[in-house]
Amino acid sequence: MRDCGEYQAWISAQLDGELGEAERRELRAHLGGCADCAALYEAFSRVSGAMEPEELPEGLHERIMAPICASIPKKKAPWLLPTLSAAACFAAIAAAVLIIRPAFRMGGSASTSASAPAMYSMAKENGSEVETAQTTAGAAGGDRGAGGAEAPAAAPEPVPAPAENSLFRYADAAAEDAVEAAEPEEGEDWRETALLLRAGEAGSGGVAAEVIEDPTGLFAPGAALLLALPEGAAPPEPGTALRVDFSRWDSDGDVSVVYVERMEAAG
Amino acid sequence: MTAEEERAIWKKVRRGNASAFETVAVEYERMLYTIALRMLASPEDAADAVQETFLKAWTARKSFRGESKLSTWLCRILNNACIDQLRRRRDTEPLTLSGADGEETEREIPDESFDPAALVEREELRSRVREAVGALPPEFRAPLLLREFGGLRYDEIAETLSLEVNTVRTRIFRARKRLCALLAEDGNFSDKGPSDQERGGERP
Repeated sequence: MRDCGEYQAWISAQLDGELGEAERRELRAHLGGCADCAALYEAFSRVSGAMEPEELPEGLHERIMAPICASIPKKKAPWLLPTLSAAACFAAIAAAVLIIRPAFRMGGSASTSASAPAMYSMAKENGSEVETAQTTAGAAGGDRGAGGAEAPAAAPEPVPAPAENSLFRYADAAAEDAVEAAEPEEGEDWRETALLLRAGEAGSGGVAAEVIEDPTGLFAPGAALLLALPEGAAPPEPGTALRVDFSRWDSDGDVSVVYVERMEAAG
Repeated sequence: MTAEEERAIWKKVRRGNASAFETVAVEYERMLYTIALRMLASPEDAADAVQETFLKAWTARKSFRGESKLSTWLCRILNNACIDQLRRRRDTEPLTLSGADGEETEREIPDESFDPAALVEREELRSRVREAVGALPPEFRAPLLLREFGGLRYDEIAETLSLEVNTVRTRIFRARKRLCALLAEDGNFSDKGPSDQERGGERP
């Protein structure tokens, strides 16, 4: 016979969908006959029901995206990011709205939906300009696109429409091509995000290591890791400082297993 | 966002696609901000932690290959960012988000304060719960927030905080008991109310 304490722990797990079917049935039967546990169930439910996500502060989304935009090197998409400042980044996008949107309209295939995330941020950042752009686009292309009765004698060349109505996506497709063309070598800059470790003893499960520094913040300094080396790789000497690039990691209790893709001694 | 959509989007992110990353940001920024705000109790610090999290995720985008859920990975980065923030505060006790179980004596819910007359408005309850969550010890608060706002499963929370699954289960339970106790101590919390409707769930 279980005591109420055990059932109370089950109530919490049940609310999180973490209780098995048999336990769930047993709990239901217990709640039917135990007023204290039934009251706790109600109390836990009320507390959970009262937890609601916060509204995102004004401007935080733009703050998040600004350094991302700024981190894309100019050489990769010079027409998209003429400067590295966040404000200029968004201004450039707003300008792209003005330039590209009418072109889409003339192509006759763009929808007027602005539901894509990039559009959301642009609308927030440059609401009036986007509105103006859409109005202008409508005025410029609306008659030709919708009615078709007064097609101009010299219609511009249609612009290929993007798969989705997002200027960011359209821009990024070209940016991706530019990146691939400019950087054919896979993993050229792996050291920028590499883990800095100190190797320990090698064992059957891998090589023990301690995190010295992780530029990505995944692992705290001092965290214990187990390095799974690529097949055929020689284990490093204990005490060696290593720079490690990994393809994936698994966490098992206190030790994370890191699957090493490449490594080198750190000077 | 389905797991399949997430994989497709992250494939683009890995190639440096900023708009794909923005889709991810829009999907998770509110959740991460809520968790950070509850962890740090400062809108400015929470915003910093969230910004740092997304920047680190972008920087490390090639290292995430979809073995875990994206939300789990982001929560782990956020957790580290919050730990860093708290460490920077000299007036804060050393943080053990994933440390040993608290040894404090469990406070029982005083039944006498479950007074139907003390039924409070929903908004007031939310406000009180917000405060009570802030009063939880960090090692209880973190798993509860990851569950309630991050929607992470117990095994995912365990991975995020480097804990055993059973520890996660126990801490979330204790966190809830403590929350109820804190609310009941104020005398403005009742066990009566339309809880199932509020939660949108169903009793077992």
